[in-house]
Amino acid sequence: MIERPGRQAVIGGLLFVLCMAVLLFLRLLPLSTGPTGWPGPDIALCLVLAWVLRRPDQLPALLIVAAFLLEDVLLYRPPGLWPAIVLLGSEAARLREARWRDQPFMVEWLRIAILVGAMMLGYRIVQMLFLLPVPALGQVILQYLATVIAYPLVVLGARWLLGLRRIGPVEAERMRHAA
Amino acid sequence: MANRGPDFATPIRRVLITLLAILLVALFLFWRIDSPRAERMRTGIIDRLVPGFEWALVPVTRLSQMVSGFQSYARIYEQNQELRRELQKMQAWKEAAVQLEQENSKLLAQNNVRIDPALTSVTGVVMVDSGSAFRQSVLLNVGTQDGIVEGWATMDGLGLVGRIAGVGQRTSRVVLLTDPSSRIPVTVQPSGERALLTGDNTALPFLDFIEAPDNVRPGDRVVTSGDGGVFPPGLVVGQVAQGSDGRMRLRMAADYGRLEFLRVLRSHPAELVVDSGAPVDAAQASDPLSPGTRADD
Repeated sequence: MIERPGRQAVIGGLLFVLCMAVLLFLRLLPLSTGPTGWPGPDIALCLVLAWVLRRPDQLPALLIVAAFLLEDVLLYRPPGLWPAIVLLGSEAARLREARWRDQPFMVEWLRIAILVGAMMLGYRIVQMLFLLPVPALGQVILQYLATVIAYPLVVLGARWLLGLRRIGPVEAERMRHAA
Repeated sequence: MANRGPDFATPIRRVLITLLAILLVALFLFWRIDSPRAERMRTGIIDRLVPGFEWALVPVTRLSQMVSGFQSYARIYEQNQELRRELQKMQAWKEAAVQLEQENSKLLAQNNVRIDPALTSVTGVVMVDSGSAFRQSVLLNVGTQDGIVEGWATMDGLGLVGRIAGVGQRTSRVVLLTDPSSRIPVTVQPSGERALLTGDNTALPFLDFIEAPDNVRPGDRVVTSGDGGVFPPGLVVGQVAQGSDGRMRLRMAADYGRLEFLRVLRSHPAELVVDSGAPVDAAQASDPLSPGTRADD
């Protein structure tokens, strides 16, 4: 009885790792080499934010950082910068999770849109400050829009496939006592 | 207070998160300051990791290629007709090519031209499409153990694809021409105009620093110029095309849609002609093997 929440957290964490591995794997497949006109949504970011807002107990920050750092290394991005921003963004969402819990989904979506926008803007500003090559603004905006549009789909998908749901007040109470 | 969740924001946790963020930023700064070393670490990790995934990557890639191959069965009749027509045209071209070949060899013999014999190649298979939305690069399954050296040119059957940047023991990275960091000196063929082929993350990289843009017309052939000694000169890159923004862009000869087998050209650094007025170094003159060849690696 005492053991259950802990074990659930471990299973949730494993599921998250599995999801990130599958996403990265699909991204790496050499199917459509060459430039794509439409930079697709950052599904991994959507998944992290959706997960943090639903089951923050299953997702230690270290796991998020490790997943994004691996992505950085494999996808030829400057290592460390995007994971740091994702860490800050997910922590911001995690701190507000309790307050946002009872509000309708539209409000959550709007907040996520603002958060993701701030993260991408921050990333771009740091890239500019450090004189790194900056991707074209139009493409970044397209990616931002795609990510925001993909968020509800990721939430629905995670709900159906992984059973990712919000913690109810009763459960939260129980977990607080167990912790 | 009843619906406040479990208290995740304890002070210790906050300190640890801050530490983690600082660590990540430090990693980024390290990469920014000592980029070569960080990139070596990156290739080391990729070298360790990616070949281990080959068992999973290969079947999935094959399968999806088979599916797309199956889809093309639907159009097989039209394709067959098309191919027949093209074959007829090709016969005529072949005749012309044979004649030209003969003429060419005759002229070469007359001129006593020595075509660069050092241009051999290593063929690698594309393992992983490792670009993100904003970087364009692929990983090959050949590395230092196959003698790959940073900076070598990479072609598919038809034209230039990119340049090797980052070599591991068993893998190497090819930065494609469309990558924003790719800059290749090229020559536009009939006019001999020099330009810099600059990737900008679109399908058609643009030609920068053209001295006399009037001499460059859509349809002109573009080859590498060999300036800077990085690439061998004369590799086919593509054709000039005018972009919708009015800029001169390049339609690449290489088939970027399906990069599967790539040839890495073993190019040796061109011998530099420097300071022809100075007296010849006696040691160098006596040893005919020393310039240009690198016996130590």
